[in-house]
Amino acid sequence: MDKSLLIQQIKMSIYKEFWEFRKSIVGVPLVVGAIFLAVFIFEMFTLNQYQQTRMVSSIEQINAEGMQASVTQMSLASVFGTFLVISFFIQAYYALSCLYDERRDKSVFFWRSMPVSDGQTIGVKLLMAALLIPAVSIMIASILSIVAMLVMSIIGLISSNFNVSDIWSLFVGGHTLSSFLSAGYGLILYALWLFPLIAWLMLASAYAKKSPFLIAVIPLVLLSITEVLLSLVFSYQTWEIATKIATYLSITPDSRDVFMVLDSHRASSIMPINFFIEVLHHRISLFALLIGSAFIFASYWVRKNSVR
Amino acid sequence: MNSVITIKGLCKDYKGHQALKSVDLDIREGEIWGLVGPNGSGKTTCLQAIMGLIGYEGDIEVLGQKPNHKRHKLLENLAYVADVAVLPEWIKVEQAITYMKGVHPNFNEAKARSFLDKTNIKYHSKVSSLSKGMKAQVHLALIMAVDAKILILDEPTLGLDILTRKQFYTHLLDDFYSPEKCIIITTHQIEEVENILSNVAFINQGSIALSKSVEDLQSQYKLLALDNEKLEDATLLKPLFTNSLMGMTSMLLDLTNLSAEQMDLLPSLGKLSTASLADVFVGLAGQKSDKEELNHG
Repeated sequence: MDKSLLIQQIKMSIYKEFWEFRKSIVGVPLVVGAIFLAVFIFEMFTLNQYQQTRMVSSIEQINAEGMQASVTQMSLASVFGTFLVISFFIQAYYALSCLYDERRDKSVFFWRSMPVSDGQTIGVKLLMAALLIPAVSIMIASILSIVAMLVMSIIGLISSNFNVSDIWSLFVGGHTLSSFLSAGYGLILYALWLFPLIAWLMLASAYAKKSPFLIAVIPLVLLSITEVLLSLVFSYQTWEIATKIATYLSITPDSRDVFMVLDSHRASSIMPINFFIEVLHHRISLFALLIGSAFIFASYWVRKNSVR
Repeated sequence: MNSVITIKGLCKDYKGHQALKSVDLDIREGEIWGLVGPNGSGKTTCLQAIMGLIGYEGDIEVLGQKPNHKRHKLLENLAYVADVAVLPEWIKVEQAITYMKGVHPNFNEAKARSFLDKTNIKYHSKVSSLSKGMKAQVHLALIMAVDAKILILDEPTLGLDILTRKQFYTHLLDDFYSPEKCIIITTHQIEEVENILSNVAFINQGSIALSKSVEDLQSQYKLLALDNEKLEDATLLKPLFTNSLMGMTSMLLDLTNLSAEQMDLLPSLGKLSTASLADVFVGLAGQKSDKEELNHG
């Protein structure tokens, strides 16, 4: 196939997904970000004398003790984390809708009359669900962080209590820029980690006649019930699939993760964002990736063969 | 003229129900085919097989390839409207044009716009805000702006008013058609497409009852209008169907069934005129169901 046509088609298919889901993909994180920012600005401009003094002294203390990196990165990590949680819900919503909605409103007949292969369509939707949607959220989170830093700098400039160079030293010493890059890398790991789940939701979306959500959830519930029954009958835990799925998807790093990460570094000085990245590294498994690929292939097959 | 679609022994089975029974068709460039038949006769199934949307038995070659193999490649030169009410509700007309321009190498934006400019449709309108007829117009404008070798239209004018239907067919001939292209249309309003078709295939209960050029068809089938007193003589001509109304009877005759003497007799029986496609269709469909009744009886 002509390469430039292929690239052009993929670009246009991505645009199409953004047009269709603009409100949820961009709108939701933007509104949340705007609310965060409004609250932050309001707080910063209404600090009283005592609060200002406390803040100035803690900034000075952080700078003096060389703790800029951990403090700044911890704040950034919590902003990114919040936005990733929001993004997760948008991703799940998108993955459940993207192949179901087009069948419900029959527009799939129109899309399939275009010279775009089913494989390409599934690929673009997967790229959206796994990577581009969280990327939009992280981008909005990054812009939000930068604006928040600007707001703090402005306060540093106009308020006699603050010393703007102290504030800047906090950001520079906190490796802010490299944190954004790390977040970008972390995003790829995050996409790989969630890939099996996203692929499963997309399969439910491609297959469901009525409610993709129920189609996605019921097999998992049945699996758990079967396991409980089996463990009761055999009076010991023989099957652990449900537990394994839950552990794989759990967002709180368990002690094993922490040990593994700390073990590989043999030091406690690891940066917060890098710590999460390392945890993600340990979560991703080849087995899960294979299962995810099987789900994606099944979604492709269903779209190709059951939709006229 | 080169063949663009060749179908040999096409069969399709839906869980024991034979939707298509060994269909043969040869469609060449420059031809405009009408695929007509009663509801559930297998027209749409036949088209779906050509468009690569379903599996089938038999051989189909569309522009030299199997339709369900590398289908997206085929769709660069095969445009179709399988069902008109299928544009996504959320899309804006302008976005639909941008999308087509982006994914379709043979899409002609200016053509689509010139067609839409003749309507009341606004580019910033969302499809969901348009009436059913307008949605169909947008869809047809987009598809007809594709410079495809084959255009397939399954009931394209369903839900359009008569004026728009007329405009559509004029547009189809003036702006889309050229001698190296071919068009296949199915419709229940045969009288509207009658004068644009070059060939017709009657499909009934899954098989092709007749496939001919319109010219041949019109010389083969004639309508005979006669007074009721000559009815007995005329019945010997084995009319395909007879319709009596207010003392006059008209019958559809297949001239190829008649002997030379019978042909000579015709002018004395009544007035002979060209049968419309609708007459032939009714005649053939009726004949088939009579046979069925006899078989079952």
